[in-house]
Amino acid sequence: MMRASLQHTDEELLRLTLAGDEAAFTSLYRRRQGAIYRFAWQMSGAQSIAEDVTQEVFLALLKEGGQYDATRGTLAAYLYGIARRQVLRRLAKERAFVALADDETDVTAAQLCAPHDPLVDLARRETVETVRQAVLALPAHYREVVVLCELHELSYAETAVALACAVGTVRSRLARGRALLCERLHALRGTPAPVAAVAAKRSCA
Amino acid sequence: MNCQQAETWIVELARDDGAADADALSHLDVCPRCAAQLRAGRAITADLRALAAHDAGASAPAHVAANLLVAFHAQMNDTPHTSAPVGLLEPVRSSWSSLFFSRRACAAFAVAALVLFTFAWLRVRFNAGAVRQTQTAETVAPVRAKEPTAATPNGSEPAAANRSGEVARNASGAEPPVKSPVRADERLLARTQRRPAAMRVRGRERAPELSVGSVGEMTVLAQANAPESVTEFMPLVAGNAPPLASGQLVRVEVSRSALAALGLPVDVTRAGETMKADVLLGEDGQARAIRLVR
Repeated sequence: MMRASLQHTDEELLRLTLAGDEAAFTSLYRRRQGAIYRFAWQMSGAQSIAEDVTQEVFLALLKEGGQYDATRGTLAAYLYGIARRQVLRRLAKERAFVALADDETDVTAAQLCAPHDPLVDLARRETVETVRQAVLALPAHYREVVVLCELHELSYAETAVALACAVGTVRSRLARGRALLCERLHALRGTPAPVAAVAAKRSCA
Repeated sequence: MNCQQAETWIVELARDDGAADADALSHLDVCPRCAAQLRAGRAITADLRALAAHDAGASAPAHVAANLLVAFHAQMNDTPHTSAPVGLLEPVRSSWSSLFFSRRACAAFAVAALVLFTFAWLRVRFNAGAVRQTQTAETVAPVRAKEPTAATPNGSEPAAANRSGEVARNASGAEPPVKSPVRADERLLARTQRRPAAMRVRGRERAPELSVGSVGEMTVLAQANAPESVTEFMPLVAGNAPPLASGQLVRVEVSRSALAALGLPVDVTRAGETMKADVLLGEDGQARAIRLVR
């Protein structure tokens, strides 16, 4: 069985996977599973959903990977598109945005380590959780653009492929999403929203 | 550049995404509203990057990988391994196609087997009751076209019209068939020539329903003395057959199932029964027409 090297592209790893190369499938999974998991987590707010979606995405890749067309976009964008559909399906099924629970058992090692400055770390964690809540409060079609473009640093073109929409649509949704996010964050923090941010939201709405 | 035009650049500037337009930068220097908007945007960017950095280490737990490996092996066991490039491998549809065609083939085979079995069963069953062949022949004399034919009031043939003194009668169907020339009934022949034989039954004398089955042998029986009702003659040859100059009218007994070939409605429950019929034979011995007798 051919061993996949780190120099293989995603498309080559997919081809080898579909040909029965387990090592290639393992490499591809290790390379892309984190991003898919984080995307599903940031979209849903629930790690259980993120686990299920990650599994479903790679199962779909095994079953329908032959339909991937490299000329239409990268494999990463293809996987994000599958993950997006899975997440939206789960969210529609559960009908609610799942808020983060305090008893989440996914404490990472970084969180367990004693911070250099506990106050700074606490402030950072509070900021992070506040932003997470604000992102989760966005409507789904704005949230997915903010998550892909801002949190996963996808380009407008890759985001457009993942969302199956035009680049212009991605730009406008991102602008509106950011404006809504600004307003939401200020509401959560109890600070007045900047006039400019409110005006931008109104102009974009 | 005005504020509306500058807004399109503010998001890009807030995200540090690409080079900024010089005019937009100049506008931001002079417009406090747009400048405040840019500051708010940059704060949002910083918050989002903090969130992304916090989540950077998150990944799916090990059991997801384990489940996927199981699925991978299951998938590969069912799919032939090829080294074809991505996009050229046959999708799952092909296995469904082959399954669909194999099911069709099995269904067609099952139907064919059922039909053959039914045919064989009916043949075995009804051959036991198939008619014996004895023969009573009547010679059909040439008929003058102008000669009128008087139809009976109820449309039925008088029993005597079907017979003449020259008809050889067989008392038993077990005796070998005997063929003797008999003078044909002129009225019958005139009716046949005047009205083309059609696949219809006169009035109340409807042809009995026959069941579908194999064609049995025909037996010509002795004509009974009891009054009979008959149907119209039904042609057994194509319409372009030569006119009938002379021939023979033969009384036979056929199985009901045999008459299904004539397109008559059949009754499955009476497939084993036989019935009388008159067959009109041409000079060449070919059966030209048939009528049912009750």
